[in-house]
Amino acid sequence: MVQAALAYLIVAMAVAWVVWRMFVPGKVKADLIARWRRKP
Amino acid sequence: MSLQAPEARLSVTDDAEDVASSVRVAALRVALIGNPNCGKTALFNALTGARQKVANYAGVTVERKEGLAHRANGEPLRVLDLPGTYSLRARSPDEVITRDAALGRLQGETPPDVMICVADATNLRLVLRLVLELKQIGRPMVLALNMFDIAERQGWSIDLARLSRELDMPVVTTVATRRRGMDQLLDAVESVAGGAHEVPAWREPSAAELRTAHAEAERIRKTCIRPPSHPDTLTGRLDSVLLHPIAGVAILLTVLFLMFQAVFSWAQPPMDLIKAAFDHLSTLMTQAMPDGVLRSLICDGIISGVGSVLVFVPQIMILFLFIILLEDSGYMARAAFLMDKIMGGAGLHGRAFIPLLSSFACAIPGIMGARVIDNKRDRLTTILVAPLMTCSARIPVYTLIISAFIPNRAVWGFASLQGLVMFGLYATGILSALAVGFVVRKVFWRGATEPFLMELPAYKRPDAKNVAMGVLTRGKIFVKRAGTVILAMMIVVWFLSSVPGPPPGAVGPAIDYSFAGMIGHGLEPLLRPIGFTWQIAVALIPGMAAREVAVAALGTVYAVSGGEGATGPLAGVLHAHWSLATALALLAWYVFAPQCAATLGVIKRETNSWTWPTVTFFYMLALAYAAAFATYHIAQAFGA
Repeated sequence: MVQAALAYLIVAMAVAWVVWRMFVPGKVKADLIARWRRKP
Repeated sequence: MSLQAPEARLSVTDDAEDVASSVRVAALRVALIGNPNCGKTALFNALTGARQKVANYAGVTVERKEGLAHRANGEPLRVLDLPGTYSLRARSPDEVITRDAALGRLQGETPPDVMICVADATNLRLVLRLVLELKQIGRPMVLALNMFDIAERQGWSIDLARLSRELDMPVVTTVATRRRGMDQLLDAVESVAGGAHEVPAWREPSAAELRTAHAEAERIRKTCIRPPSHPDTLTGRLDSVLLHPIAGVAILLTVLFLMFQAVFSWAQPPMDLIKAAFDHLSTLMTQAMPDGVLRSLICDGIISGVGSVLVFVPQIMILFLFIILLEDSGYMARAAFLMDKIMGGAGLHGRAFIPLLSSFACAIPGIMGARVIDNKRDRLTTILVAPLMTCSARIPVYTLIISAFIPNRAVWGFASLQGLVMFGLYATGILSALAVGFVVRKVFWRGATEPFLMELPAYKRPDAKNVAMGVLTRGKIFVKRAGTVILAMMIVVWFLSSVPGPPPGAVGPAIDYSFAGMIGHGLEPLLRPIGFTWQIAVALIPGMAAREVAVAALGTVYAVSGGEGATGPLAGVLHAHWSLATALALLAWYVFAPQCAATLGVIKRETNSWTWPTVTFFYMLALAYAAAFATYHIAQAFGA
């Protein structure tokens, strides 16, 4: 059970990374990063 | 030309941005300007330590690159590397960038505080005219006579003090590849930096003004520079052979042929080592972990997928060792010269050779390098054919299939058959690029091709450090991709290949019931006429992210499938599952397939239109399908 949860967590992270890297436009990324950095 | 993949270039830009933000006060901005191939990029590297490829022929710089140098007092200096130009009367998009940067016309940029005009000390004829033109801008200037060691060796005599007086600016001698003269150059920059600044102004000179400037440059040259009493004849003697219309082409083909032979034979021992290391790691993990989903992810997904790609690092590094050696020695410029006639016959501009050569590393810098071509149609033609050149991402696919299906035996007593097939695939890429160029320029966009002018640099011994840096950079880029894009894609492919699991009482491999199985079986009818199996269909989809991902995906798909013949090295697994006709059809597919989303994205950015990436995608897809179809059926007819 723990093994499966860990495996699917890794899969979710990989999917999120692929989406971020390939499908989020550069300008949106830059805006999001800038907003993130502005937070205290 | 830059043979770097985009990641490497981005790292330079990222560093520069970090650098710029870290220097919050307005540091002194220095721009490097000069003729193509005078060593600006080498000087930029020497000043800033930024790691960037140094090429030996015109048009090396196609990107804006900024780095940080430090003055003797520790104060930072922002250095801008600008594309090469012969004049401020810009013709190509690259030259427009240089002119606008010098004049401070670029959006969000101020004019440079000091301009360093970089000159090849062995060839000052053209640069003096550029210096006189730059002086009109009215910014403080320093003249850096680069490659001064070669000029001295050749016997050039340059009266530095007089040249400095004539031009009214400090003149410094440098040897950028050996970091000589850097302190003196920075001192000279500091000495002029406080000088009076004028608002940059420039206007297109009239014909009479051009003649006057030319006469003045000639006068200064004759006054200050004395050519060698015994001119260098080595370059001339070598060129008489290497540029011979028949012997030169034969030598070029021999060099390329030997290069591909070496890629196969030299790389084998380190490849075996890497393969053994990954097999050992997989065995260790299998023994250490209980059977379950996580073990399957790590062994079948990550180790099997990423390992099957990393095994090709030695081949990629050896290929680039040769390419960088040829560039740095000055031979690549000769290759461009030799190819010009052939390229002109195919309707391509001579300058297209440089971007097309870059495309052997990756189509992205090649497409960006097409900015050196000023004619819009010539530039678009180059962009359209650049993805047909065999990029490094195809190497894992080619070598995997070749090692699985082509016997490793000698042909004509000395050549390896595998190397010969690889050479053939590269040649097919080049010939198809020429054929597409011919069709585009002779059928769709008829018109004269502009003449190609390029200066051939003197031959020189490649700098060991520069070569090592270039090869290591290529290796690092490939390993980084394996650790990021390929790793993430392999995890996704493993998930698609494992979920949902087979229903109770199901027979056959579990992957048949998974999402990947469904996608593969769905695409199979489309791909069956070209001999592809559903496993290939599954691998082609993640292969859109990057071509080499398909190799890792095949590793994962077959590892997850299990069953007879699914264990052991991937090449052996493929040999057990595919016919020779299927393997050859896949090779033919990969020569043409538009399987690289990043390339299409860059075409969109460079052409500022979705039309051209769409055209590229569909024409390449049609070629790939037709080539695979023909190959499969011809091979079958021969009983393969």
